[in-house]
Amino acid sequence: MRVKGDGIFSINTSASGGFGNAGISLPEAVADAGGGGDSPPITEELQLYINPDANVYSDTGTTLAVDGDSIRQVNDQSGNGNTIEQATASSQYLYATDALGTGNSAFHILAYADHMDFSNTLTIQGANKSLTFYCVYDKTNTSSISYLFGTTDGNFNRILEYGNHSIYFQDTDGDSWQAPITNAGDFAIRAFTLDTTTDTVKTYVNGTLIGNRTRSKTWGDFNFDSFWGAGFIGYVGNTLLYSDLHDATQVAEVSDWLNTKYSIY
Amino acid sequence: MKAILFTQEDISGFNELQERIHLHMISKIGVDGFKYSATKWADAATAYVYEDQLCMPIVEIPEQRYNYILEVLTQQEKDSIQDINLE
Repeated sequence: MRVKGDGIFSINTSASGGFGNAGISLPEAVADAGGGGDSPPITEELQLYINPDANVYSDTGTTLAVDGDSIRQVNDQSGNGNTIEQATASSQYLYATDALGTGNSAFHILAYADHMDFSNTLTIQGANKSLTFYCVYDKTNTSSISYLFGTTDGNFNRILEYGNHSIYFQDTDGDSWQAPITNAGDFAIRAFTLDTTTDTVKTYVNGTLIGNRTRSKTWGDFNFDSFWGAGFIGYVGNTLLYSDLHDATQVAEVSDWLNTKYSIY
Repeated sequence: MKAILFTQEDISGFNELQERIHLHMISKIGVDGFKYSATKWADAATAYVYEDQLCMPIVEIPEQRYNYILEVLTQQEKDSIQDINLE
């Protein structure tokens, strides 16, 4: 059960899993059967790559979604089998073609409760791994808290946007740290990095460093169950998660690659 | 967002309605190209609580799905649909 309150949402049950997390190993040129398959310029430590133009299904992996369909399943393009799914009809995204830039598909999140869940928990061990998260989105509401990644039980493990001005990383123990972003309502390519060795969060918008904050702390595991989620209404495009720290040069490289698709800057 | 609200104690009422919508959606699969792939319409256990009430979203798009929802609702249930602001 989710409660809107002070930023802590909780859900009592977890989504059922069961879709292929077969650990399939793909070559760097990632294949897809849904059109739009491509390969990020950096694939080392790539844990998740969700592309709305590839392997988006209106059912459990057979029928490719077309414009206006409710989305039941999306296959991970990273080769790690981190499928995302939603079996509850009223929480499903809609598939929108030609929605982000020109000719690019998106997940249209149009209700506060819409979200998708990982078929298996995506874990990154913060004690010895850093995180880099890329996402392209156009937020159309002004909710003060939007979950980009989270958990179905609401117990921390989040990457969240707060107040339309900050990005938080929060591990399984609730330890968190944040750095500012510019207006979350802008259609932009965003990158957020957490260096767990220096406890530094950096935020980039369209390849440019925006925020940089450091504090001293000890990180635990990040156990992500939920892809996007409470509070966000708008359109979501390509989303990538690395279990590694990307420096400014690498962020620019991946952002520029995303920009070849979205033509934002 | 449009929704029907239930008291937090009225789990059975929530589930009865969600199942009625779900079964109606299943019955419409293939009608005018309608697609539906879900195991339930909504879930009381994962529903938002809005002003201490369980929130069942009644999303207006896609229009075809919305019309099917309306088909299965009683007039009283239709009248209970309200716009809620979750910002």
